[in-house]
Amino acid sequence: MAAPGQAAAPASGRAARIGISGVERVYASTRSSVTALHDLTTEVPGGQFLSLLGPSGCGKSTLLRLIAGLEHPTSGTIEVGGTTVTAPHPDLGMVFQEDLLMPWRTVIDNILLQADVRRADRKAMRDRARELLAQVGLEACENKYPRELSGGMRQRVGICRAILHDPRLLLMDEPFAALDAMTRDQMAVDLADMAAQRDTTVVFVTHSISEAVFLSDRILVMSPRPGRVVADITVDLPRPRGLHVRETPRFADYVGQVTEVFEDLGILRDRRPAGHHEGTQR
Amino acid sequence: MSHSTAPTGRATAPRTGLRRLAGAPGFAPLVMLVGLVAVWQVCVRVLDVPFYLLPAPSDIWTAGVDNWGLLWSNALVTLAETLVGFALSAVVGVLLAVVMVAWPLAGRALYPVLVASQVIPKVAIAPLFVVWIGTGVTTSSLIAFVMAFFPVVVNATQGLNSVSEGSLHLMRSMGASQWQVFRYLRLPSALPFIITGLQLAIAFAIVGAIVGEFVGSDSGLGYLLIVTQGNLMTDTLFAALVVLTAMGLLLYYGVELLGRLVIRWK
Ligand SMILES: Nc1ncnc2c1ncn2[C@@H]1O[C@H](COP(=O)(O)OP(=O)(O)OP(=O)(O)O)[C@@H](O)[C@H]1O
Ligand SMILES: [Mg+2]
Repeated sequence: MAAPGQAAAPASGRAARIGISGVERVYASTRSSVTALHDLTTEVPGGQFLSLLGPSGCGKSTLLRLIAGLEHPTSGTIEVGGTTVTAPHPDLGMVFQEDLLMPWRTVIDNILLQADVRRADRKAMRDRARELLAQVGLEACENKYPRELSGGMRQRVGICRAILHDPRLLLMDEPFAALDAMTRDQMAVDLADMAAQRDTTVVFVTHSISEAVFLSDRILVMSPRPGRVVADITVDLPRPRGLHVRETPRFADYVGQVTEVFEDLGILRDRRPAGHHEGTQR
Repeated sequence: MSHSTAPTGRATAPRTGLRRLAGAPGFAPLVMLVGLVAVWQVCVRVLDVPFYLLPAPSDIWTAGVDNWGLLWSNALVTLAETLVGFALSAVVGVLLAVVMVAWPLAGRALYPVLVASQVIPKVAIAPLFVVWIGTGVTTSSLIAFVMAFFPVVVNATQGLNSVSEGSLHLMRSMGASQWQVFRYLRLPSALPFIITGLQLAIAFAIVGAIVGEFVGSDSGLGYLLIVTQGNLMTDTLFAALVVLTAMGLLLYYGVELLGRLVIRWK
């Protein structure tokens, strides 16, 4: 098996390594307690593109928040770049499951919030924000307010905001969920390119098996709650990957592997081809 | 007393618009007003009500024109008191809310005091103000302030706390400081709430100023009300009430307009 991270970008050492050991996350309230994650241990080398796959409620978002330092594990430790996470990493970019745009800021200003908070040069960042907007096909929406955008458009603005400062740790929680199939494919291609060019560690949550295979160096499949890692699959497809890689037998192999894991878990029961239920693959 | 449900300040139902005119803003209230005045005029004349009990609109008009100088100068006094009280309530109210949100412990300690200050009838403590400060413009302004700041505090507090956990996470993921969270997230989120609070505050401030003038003052529309009542100058009294109402409406919609200028994203 190829060492994870091998397929990733030039090893300038910029990207952050993530170490997760024995992490447990229990949400306790007076009436009940929910174990969201149980005894999770894994290592994500710097520069790796890692996807998290798993049924709804298995703790994917929770794991992202823990890595981000927004919440803390009930037990176990998380390290980013060699130091234990106690607060958000200074070079973090995060796409949340909701778009979380500020209704009082225009599209471009929403993206520039990242620059404002980081006290970066707004002028230089404005040019970069425009570039990013053009890349996601929203150059015409620069001065619109979020309420004037569709859900998919808002999600794309959220992605631009997360990558404006070229983070070395990028956490994305179902960033393409609200997009139509075509835009989704395009965004996947662009994200794959970006991740390959820039030295960034990416943890990417998705419900789409083929999207995960297409984008990732490695896929972690998580069990239903409490979330554990039930499969750790290294995707050794050559990069750069064009959309046509999805028609190759090796791609189908990987999709089949992941599908099998879901079947073993009892989450997928019927024997349809894996791509069918998600519409990103014909 | 004040709620988060009306941050837009535009709760009107969608216009049915049978005709463009009927759909124009201000048309329905105008018809209502003209109708009321007409009914009033007719009733007073037909039933021959003595003018010191209830003057007809035409009598009030005449009294208003005759005493215009008096009404105007006293209205200016009340206006000044109202605006001073309102401005104080806006500044103090928002600052208190910020303190209470930034230091929840202080908030929990302060809140009962604020509520208590509000449930005490102002008419009952107004004489105290007179004893402490004396009669006049300062006392009326202070009473206006005391009456007006509460809705500002309540709404601003609610607004500053109206941010989702997700948005807080977003800010923290960018490394935002407490001050940045306040500046970029909490304050803008609170603006619509604060505007609602200010709309209530301006109405309360007018009442407060009038109460102050009732209790101890020798100028202002409230003073004029007392004097005209004592002299059975009911027509002038009503004229003063009309001026007061007009002033209140103007101020209220002024604040609403201000709100719409500030909140352009809605
Ligand atoms: N703040 C919280 N308080 C209490 N329970 C929580 C909280 N956040 C998550 N949970 C619980 O933890 C479990 C995992 O939630 P999480 O949001 O991480 O799932 P997920 O894998 O992201 O699901 P989805 O795919 O639907 O987004 C769920 O059972 C949820 O109810
Ligand atoms: Mg989730």
